[in-house]
Amino acid sequence: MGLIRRNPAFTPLLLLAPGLLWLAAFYVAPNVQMFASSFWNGTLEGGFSFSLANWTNYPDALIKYQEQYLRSIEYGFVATLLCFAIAFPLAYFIAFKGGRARNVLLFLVVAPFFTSYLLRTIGWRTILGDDSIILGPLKALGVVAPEARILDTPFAVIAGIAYNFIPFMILPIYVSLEKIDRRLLEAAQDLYASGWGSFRRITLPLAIPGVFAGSLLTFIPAIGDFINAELLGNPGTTMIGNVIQRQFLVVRDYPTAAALSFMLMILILAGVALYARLLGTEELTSTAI
Amino acid sequence: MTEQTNPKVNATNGGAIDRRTVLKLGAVAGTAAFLAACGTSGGSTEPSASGGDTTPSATLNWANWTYYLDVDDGVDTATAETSESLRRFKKEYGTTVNYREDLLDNDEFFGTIKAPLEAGQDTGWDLVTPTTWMAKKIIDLGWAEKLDKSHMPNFVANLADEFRGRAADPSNDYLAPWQSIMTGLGVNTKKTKRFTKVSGLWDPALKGKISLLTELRDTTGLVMLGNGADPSNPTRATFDAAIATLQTAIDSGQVRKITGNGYTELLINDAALAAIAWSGDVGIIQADKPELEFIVPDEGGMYATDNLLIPKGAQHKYTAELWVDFYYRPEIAAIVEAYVNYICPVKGVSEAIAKIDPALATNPLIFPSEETKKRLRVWGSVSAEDQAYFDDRFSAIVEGVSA
Repeated sequence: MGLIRRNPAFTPLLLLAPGLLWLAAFYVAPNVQMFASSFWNGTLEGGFSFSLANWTNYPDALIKYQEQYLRSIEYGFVATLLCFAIAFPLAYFIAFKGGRARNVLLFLVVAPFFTSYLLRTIGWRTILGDDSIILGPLKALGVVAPEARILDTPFAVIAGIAYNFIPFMILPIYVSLEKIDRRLLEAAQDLYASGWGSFRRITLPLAIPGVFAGSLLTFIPAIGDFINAELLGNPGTTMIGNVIQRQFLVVRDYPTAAALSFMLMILILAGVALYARLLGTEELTSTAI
Repeated sequence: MTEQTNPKVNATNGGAIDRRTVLKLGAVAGTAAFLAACGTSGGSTEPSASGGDTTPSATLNWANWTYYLDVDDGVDTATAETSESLRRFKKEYGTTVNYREDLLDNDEFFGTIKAPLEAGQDTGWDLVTPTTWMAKKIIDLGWAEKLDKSHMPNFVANLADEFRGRAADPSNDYLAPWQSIMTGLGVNTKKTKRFTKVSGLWDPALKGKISLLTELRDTTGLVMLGNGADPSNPTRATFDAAIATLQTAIDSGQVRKITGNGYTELLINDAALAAIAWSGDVGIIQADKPELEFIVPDEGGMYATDNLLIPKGAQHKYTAELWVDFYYRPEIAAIVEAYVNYICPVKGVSEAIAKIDPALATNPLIFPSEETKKRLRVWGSVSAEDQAYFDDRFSAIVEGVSA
């Protein structure tokens, strides 16, 4: 205490200390370790050795798994768009028309999160099954072919990702919509703006921070996800997360796994930087979260 | 404690819904356990027990595969309270077995115990249940405790002859076989035409309706047999041919999924009408779905054994030996077998199991005929370089990397 009283400059440092220590122990240290192991060479049984000459781990892994990287970006991107298409109208409805039911509606958005991620995903195996409540009747009516299926297709994987991450899109958009000063909309009306006009000129621009935060919160976990591809996909829908998981735990080729993880991280950071530039960096700091 | 369950009910009639639920939950439990295993590491801080200790310990930590020990009806997982064999063990020795279904993949599990073994530390397990090839690797690394057979009379007397003098453990010093598994075809004979050849899997009528296993030895072994090659002596040429067969099937959309234990759910829900399958799994599903048949293909099937092994530095070595010996009593092995439906390494189990249910004593999944046994092959051991080559190519198949 004496220290703070004598030198108030220490106060922010002390307040930051727990967070910095946390970052150092659980973010910086593992990443340094992982970065080092991406320059290893060898096997688990024979031991690994570090050498900068092993930088070739990166291009080797990138070439071998380029298809999985591209697929992850594609699935992540489509799932994020899907989330946005569903989340924006829903968040708009809750924010502007929700009235007293608002809190209940928001609760319903997060309610599925009370169940385990795995269980929710496996639940879709029942819902989307070949003779399920969705496909069964359609097949009986002859609307779809008897051999048609949704489960274990790219569609199921993307739908699963979108389903699992949609609350991360809804909540930030809701917050930014909810913050909008309603007097602005009234003023627009007074000045004879059409409904669409005021939406386009007022609501949408003010919702951008929420859309920005939401799409990042959806896209980043989506691109690294492996559970949906594992449970709802087929041998042709493997994502980079599946490869990293298998390389780390089954094949135990730690150097390749580490290189793959690092490239994924760089890919995401580069994507985020580009996106931030497009939408304006000051929006990043004033996001709704 | 009184007997709470009749194992007969477990294995045959009754409990239809329960078993189905249990199997459906298999995928969940499997994945959840897998996620848990990601963070598993050994390391109990208790001081190591001396080798000469002959007092049964209060607990025994045992890692096993899923659906691999008898469990009461309507219960998902075996524990010291829900498994008749473990209850009897507790009654006799006072030991509560900490039974964990942590083994989902040999390689993956090995990764979790490797670090403590390498550092000369206790892994936290008193008993693990690796498949023979993995068990051999652990023995060769010097990471297995030698069994003290002086207090294992049942094991010495009742170990089936086929397991005496195995290459992996010539004097039976380290391994006590737990169950043997046949890998063959699981075929839904109601929804698809019954077939007995491996090539039946590639029938266009089954497009998108078959599943394969993520275990290299099971899947490529069976495909090799189908190609007329011998998996007990795998070469790069025969292996590459099998990989090519698999790649063609995957590229054409024939294969719906490549899974670990998850394929049982696909067979139950008709998402797969044929699969490369393990005998005991099919046996368990048959209770609800009699149209599902386990077929050892005309060209032959794969055969593997999972073994009880005491990892170096185990805290409760003596008690682990007691449990092994307890299991080698035919009446205890029969209780386990009536549930798991795999091939038992204990002599005299057929007489004991007949007392539980005479039908089980003639079940070809538990007691395959000599003719069937002749057609079974064990994956041959190869050089480390060849194995690395195999692992790499098979991984590419599972990871969806086209050659």
